[in-house]
Amino acid sequence: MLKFGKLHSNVVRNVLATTRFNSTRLLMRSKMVTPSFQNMRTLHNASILYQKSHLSRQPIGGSESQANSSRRSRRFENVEFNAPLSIAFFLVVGGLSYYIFERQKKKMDAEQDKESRKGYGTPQIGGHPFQLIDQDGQAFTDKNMLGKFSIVYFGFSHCPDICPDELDKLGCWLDELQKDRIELQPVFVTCDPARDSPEVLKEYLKDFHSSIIGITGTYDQIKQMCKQYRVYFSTPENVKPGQEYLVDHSIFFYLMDPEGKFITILGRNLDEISGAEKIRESLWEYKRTHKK
Amino acid sequence: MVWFPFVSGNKPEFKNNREARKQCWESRDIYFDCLNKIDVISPLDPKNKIKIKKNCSNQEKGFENDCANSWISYFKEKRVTDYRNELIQKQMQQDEQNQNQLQQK
Repeated sequence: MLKFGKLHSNVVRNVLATTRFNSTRLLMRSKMVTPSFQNMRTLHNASILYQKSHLSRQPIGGSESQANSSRRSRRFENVEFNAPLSIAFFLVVGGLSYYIFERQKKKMDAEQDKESRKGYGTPQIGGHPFQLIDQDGQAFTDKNMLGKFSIVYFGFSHCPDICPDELDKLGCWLDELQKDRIELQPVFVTCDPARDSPEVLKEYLKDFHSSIIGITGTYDQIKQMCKQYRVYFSTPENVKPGQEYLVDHSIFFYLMDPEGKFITILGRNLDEISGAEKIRESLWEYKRTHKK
Repeated sequence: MVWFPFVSGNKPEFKNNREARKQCWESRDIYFDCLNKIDVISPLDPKNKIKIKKNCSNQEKGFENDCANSWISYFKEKRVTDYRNELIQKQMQQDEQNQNQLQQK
């Protein structure tokens, strides 16, 4: 029974919350502040409840509260019918919110525009600082990627068949694109820094397109570089000095923009012609979306 | 890695340049052609050892002489995986054809 009463007292409170503050206060003062067991029992009848709340609107000996409310209502009346003031108020609030909305909209449009230029789902490939050396022993860093389009390939000189094929293909692309006066900086990054010293790379790259830059570094530097380009590579463990081994690595070309940022990827499925075509299209699209 | 005592004993060091690569690939193709003739897919399978020695020993020697040691096992393994891939591809094409025929009916 006590539980039942509590449940109803909750209902009562909910109903009362919707009634005017004044009446609740009065009711609280009279009945609800210290609700006795008996009170709750009577309250679970809805009709009694309404009656009570209705009755409670009548101030109980409250000439003070009546005077208060009448004074207040007169004050409210003044505001309600003060048309010029409310119009001015409306104009100020309206104008201000319009201004804020417009500004926010412009900001969002600009952001959206920026976002759309980036293209959908551009992966985070490259664009971070790195410090490596080229086949002449000169420093080659992320700064060398700025101001020109680059095409980056990862491989190793002891690669049996795929890398030489891919590098030959790259040479074809470069020649093909040169016909359209498209200059690319081709970069070959080794995944096998232990064997591919600058000298080895220099000797190796003699067989391929003359503009290809060979890049090497310490194992950790190369690992960092590969991580940046999301390139998987694995050298076998416990290699004895002088022992031969192969490096397993992912085979992709990465087309990079003059800010050193990623444009697109070229896989093994592309041949001498379709690869050059894809580069041409990607650069055209890039220039179209990055025009001011 | 497989160690070839007879081959590597007097084998000159593999020079990694265009000429050497081309030579290696040619010798490899000759060797694999020979394997095709005797219906050997995996040159790494010990069961095929005697058969290869009997029919393709010269080609095998040529291949192993012209290629870097690490490449020899790589190409042999690749032959097996390429063959498997081809089989899968054929199977898929066959399935597709069957499906198309069924749809036409």
